[in-house]
Amino acid sequence: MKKYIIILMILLIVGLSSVSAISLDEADKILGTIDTSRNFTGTDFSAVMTMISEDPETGIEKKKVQQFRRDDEEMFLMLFIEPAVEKGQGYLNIGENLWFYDPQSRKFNHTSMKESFGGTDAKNSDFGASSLGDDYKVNTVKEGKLGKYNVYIMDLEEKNSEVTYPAVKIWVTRSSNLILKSEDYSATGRLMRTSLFPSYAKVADKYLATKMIFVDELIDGKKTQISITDISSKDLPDSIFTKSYVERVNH
Amino acid sequence: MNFKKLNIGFIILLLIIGSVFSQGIASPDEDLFGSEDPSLINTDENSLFGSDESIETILDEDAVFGSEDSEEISPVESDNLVQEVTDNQMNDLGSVLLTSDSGVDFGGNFFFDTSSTWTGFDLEDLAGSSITDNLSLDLGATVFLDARPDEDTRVFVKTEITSPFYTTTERKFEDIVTITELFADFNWNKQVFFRAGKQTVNWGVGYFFSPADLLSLSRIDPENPDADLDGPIALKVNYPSKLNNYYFYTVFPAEISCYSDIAIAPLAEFVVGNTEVSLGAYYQYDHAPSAMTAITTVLGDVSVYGEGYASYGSDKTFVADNGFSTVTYNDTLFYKATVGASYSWSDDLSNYNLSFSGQYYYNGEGYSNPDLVNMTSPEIMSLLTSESISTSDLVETGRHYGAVSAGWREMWGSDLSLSIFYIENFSSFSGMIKPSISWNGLDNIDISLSVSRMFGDPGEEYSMSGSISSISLGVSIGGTSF
Repeated sequence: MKKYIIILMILLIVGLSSVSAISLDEADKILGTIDTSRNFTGTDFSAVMTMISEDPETGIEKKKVQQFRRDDEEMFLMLFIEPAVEKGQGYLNIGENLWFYDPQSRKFNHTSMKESFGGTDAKNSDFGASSLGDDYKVNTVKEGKLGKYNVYIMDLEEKNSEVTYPAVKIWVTRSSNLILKSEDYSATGRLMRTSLFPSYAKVADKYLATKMIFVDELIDGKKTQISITDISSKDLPDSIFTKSYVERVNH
Repeated sequence: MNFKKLNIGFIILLLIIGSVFSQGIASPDEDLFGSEDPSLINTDENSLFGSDESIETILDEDAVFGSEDSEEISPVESDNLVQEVTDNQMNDLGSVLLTSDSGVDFGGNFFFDTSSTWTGFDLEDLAGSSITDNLSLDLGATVFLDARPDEDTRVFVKTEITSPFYTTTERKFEDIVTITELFADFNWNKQVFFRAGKQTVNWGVGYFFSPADLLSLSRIDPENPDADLDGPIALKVNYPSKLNNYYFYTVFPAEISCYSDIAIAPLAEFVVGNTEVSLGAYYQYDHAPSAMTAITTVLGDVSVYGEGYASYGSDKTFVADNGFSTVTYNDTLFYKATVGASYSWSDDLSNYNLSFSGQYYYNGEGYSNPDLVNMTSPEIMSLLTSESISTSDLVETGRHYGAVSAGWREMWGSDLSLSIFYIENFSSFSGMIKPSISWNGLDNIDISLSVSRMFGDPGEEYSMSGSISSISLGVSIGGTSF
């Protein structure tokens, strides 16, 4: 009997030890690795995003956006190509500045990374360089599984107030440190949004989510799916990341 | 023996439970979005991250929105989570949006607005009010042609067509069809960019008032601050340098007869941190030279802006202190300044989409004594009749102005929106307050109801007929972009 109890305890310890197989420091390092693998350092990046939004109130909407990124210099430009009513609207980010361009008034206005991107469930901050390591610390980490993937499940807490969500829970593949899922929480701990990343592309040794699904957890049935195509890591002219370029491509 | 079997079974059971517990797969949220979900976007995590199948197409966009070009990708990992993308971009990416497949694009906006206005409500004697009504119709469109034969060349023309579509002695053809923009873009070595022709120019950053906008031919309408402003005929030379922009404008008046009619206007824009600063100047022979500065920044979640303006002399003709003669100032410094802020906020459920914008404006060309420019005074009427002064000289006659707007869009998630607009000339204490409510519950139809209260003495800037109230019902039908 005593032998079985010892075996039982050993097995329980072994079983439970997998709940937290890595330390918080190691988990923090994984955040840095995620940033490194997702940011296009040393190269530019461009793609076309197709956004399908479902809203119980307004129905289904499709938007198409041309995206340009230069993570080395904290710059991106997102220009709406479709629909016609939004064509020419754009977000230009240079360092600490994020401007929204309205082709109707021909004016640039400062806006915030925390704002909704074009009225969808995506936020402006979803499209810039990744800075999880700078913005969050890992509070808990455990091993788990999401579908067929072995993952780390990490609870993150904000390090600064600049972030869009104060608390985030992420599911990260153990083999390649790719985020498959995240839950975004408000300061009061309310689940605001669930994001799913079921498909990635490897571009110039960097990883890019090519399918993103954002589910609004506050409004039932409201969600947005983003598909990314026409991906390129070719160098972009400096002139793209200027107000002048935004004005020249517009009507 | 039976006891041993029982214990082994117990251990296996514990292991299974422990394993399941450790893997966290039992989270019920993965079954939240099952097959009964009628949505086009599949959020079922079992199908997205399932064990048996590769990642499937999440949304059949082709079936809903027509076929899209597929990208050239090939799986490089057995689980298909990651696919390697071949960079198949052959074009210069900078030119992607600067050219079009057809070479020429057409587009524009259509509007069909009706408005019924009942004016003359006397709040102190409603029963005795003498009410007049008016019905107006705005039918028209803006149409643009955007020709881009190659990435370095572009010709753009934008026209506005408004009803009624016939001419009279008072309404000429150019009132029906207006060329709002007509310009060509070209560049030198993709480093210096040129725009030649009639073009919209926005130098200022003010929302309701913009004294630093030295080039626009029209002023901001505070009641419709997002509307296009009429721009000049000019050659714009732009040299972008990283965060900064340098411009040089050569401005041509619509009717030109000699070189001295041409004006020059340099402008530089600098970005420092999260602040943008502009410095510009305007010079034309025989006119008052002027300079401007504008600044925009963000303080927390509040956008803040300011403008400064100075001119040596003024191109306006002023009413003299005696009230019945005019005077001009050629060697006096005039200053104008404005500060403003805007803020928007929305709660988590989007029940409260609130926005606020406010601005103060000091106008150094304004009159400290508003009685001098009261439109009911016989002296002013005499000066206008004799053309000693023009109506354009009698715009913005106050020294101090303020304007505020606040809005609550889609109240509690409904189709109703509420807004209020307030403006006042603090020199003459005339102004207007206008609350309105709008409803857009039907596709392509917007209905709005507003109550306007003009206050101040008769003849003042915002109260030509004295303190008076009006109610307007507006219906916008089929307005759209194409």
